Amino acid sequence: MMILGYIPDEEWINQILGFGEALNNDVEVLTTNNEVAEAAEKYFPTVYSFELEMFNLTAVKKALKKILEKIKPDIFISPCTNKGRAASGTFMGLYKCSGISDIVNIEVVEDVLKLERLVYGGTAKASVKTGIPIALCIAPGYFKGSSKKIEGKIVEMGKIETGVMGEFRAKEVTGNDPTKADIVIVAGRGVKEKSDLNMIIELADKLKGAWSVTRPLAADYGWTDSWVGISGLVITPKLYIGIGVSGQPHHMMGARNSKIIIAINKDPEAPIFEEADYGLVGDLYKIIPVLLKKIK
Amino acid sequence: MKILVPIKLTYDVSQMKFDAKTLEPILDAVPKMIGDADKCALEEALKIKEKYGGEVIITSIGDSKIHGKIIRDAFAMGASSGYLIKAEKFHELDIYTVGRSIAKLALRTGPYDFILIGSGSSDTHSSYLPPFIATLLDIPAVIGADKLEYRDDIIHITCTYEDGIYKYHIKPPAVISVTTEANMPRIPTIRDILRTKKMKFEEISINELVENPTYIDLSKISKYTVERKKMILEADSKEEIEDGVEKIFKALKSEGVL
Repeated sequence: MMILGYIPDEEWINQILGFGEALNNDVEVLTTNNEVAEAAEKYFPTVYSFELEMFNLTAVKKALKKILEKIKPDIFISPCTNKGRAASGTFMGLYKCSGISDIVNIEVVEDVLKLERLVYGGTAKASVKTGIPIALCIAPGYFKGSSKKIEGKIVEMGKIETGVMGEFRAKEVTGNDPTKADIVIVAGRGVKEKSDLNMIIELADKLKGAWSVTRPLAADYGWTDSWVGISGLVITPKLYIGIGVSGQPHHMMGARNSKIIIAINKDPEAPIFEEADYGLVGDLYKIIPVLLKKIK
Repeated sequence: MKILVPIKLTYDVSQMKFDAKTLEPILDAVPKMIGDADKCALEEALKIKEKYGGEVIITSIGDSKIHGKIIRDAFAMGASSGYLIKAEKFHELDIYTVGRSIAKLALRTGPYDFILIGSGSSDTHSSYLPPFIATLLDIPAVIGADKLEYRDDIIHITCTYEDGIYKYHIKPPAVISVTTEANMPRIPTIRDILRTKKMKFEEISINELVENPTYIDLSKISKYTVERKKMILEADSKEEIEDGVEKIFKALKSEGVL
């Protein structure tokens, strides 16, 4: 089977590799970033590297068109991120095929792909079958590749000119990256004041982890600019601590794949306790000082 | 300005219910609604129409009665007219068919300056549809617009992706997907609802738009559970809190997490 993968960011190299390994198949990859291309070359046999002025879908469409003149993939695979999903949708239009997103598992049975995907805001898993060609997106944290290095080659595909007008402002590097940290503390609506985030941050610092919030604290109250959930960050830490988080499906879709989940909430009926390994039913304002003291 | 807004009927996933034994979803017990992001796309379309004139046209795929209602809800918000793409087994339609039918409808009833779509429906959230339709129509697409502003024949779009903030300035025609960050969709008044009660929408069979509709081959759907230890402790009194924190720390250490 021929698989073409799109890797927008370096952190997806391992997961796209893991997807190929799940099918026991090589993956040829497409990148639009030189650094990603150089990193990917160590794991994939062929890396098609395009140069873009700035990410835009007209450029992605042109890049895909150029590659499709060379190869005829059976599967297009990309991550469940804004860029990954958009590339898959674009591929579907060019290649006149269907697509399935949020893939968590895949196997081939007699020329048919059997997939498991998340649906209904991540509250349910669906088993679906599909033929090829197909565009797929993998959910974060489900495919883990080996770290076996090879000597791949970069195929320089040149610069893509589109005339699309735009500007890009890179995310500030603050040292707080919940998508990469082993421990993530998340504040939910039980946290009453913006200034109370300081104790969440203090807890994260002491545990050498990162912190984030649920959507209302960012999108509605404007306390910070990103959040964990289906419309925000998807995190897969070793330890997730939800503080005053009720556990709504849209939030849990971004956190469910954490290895261990701890919940602190005063409402014993909060749905997060159904998904927690450890839980404390009580007032977070009384519990956090004890936690902070304990870590000292 | 002529703007097409495809809307989808989705389940309110915050109210999902599952059978305790089979773990299958009990979909009849889950409220259905126009997707939140779809409403935001419609709101943006209405804002452009109100400022520059023109029409906002709604389309939805499904059943005359159920989807007719959501088209009517969109009329109450301010949409000018609508097309219902009639399809049986609409729940199982493959996105390949959904995208092709909307693209075909756009060709047949357009040309449109913009096609505005919600950035993802809460039930599947693939977000494939906007770039798929745009590619079929061979026009530009921008996905995940948190902010839109149309002036001097250019739409200025701000999007937040994983690595930062992107701004695009695009001339129509274009397909743009709109996130729930873009606005607070208006809530129609009783008067709006009554005023639009007699408005009619056109019905087109999906077979008129695409040959051989395709369906998802779904074999099983069940509640997604991750096995959890569920050691939930009361932490009300000072003693309980200290005891609980101690127990959890001990457990985390034995699991090698701390």
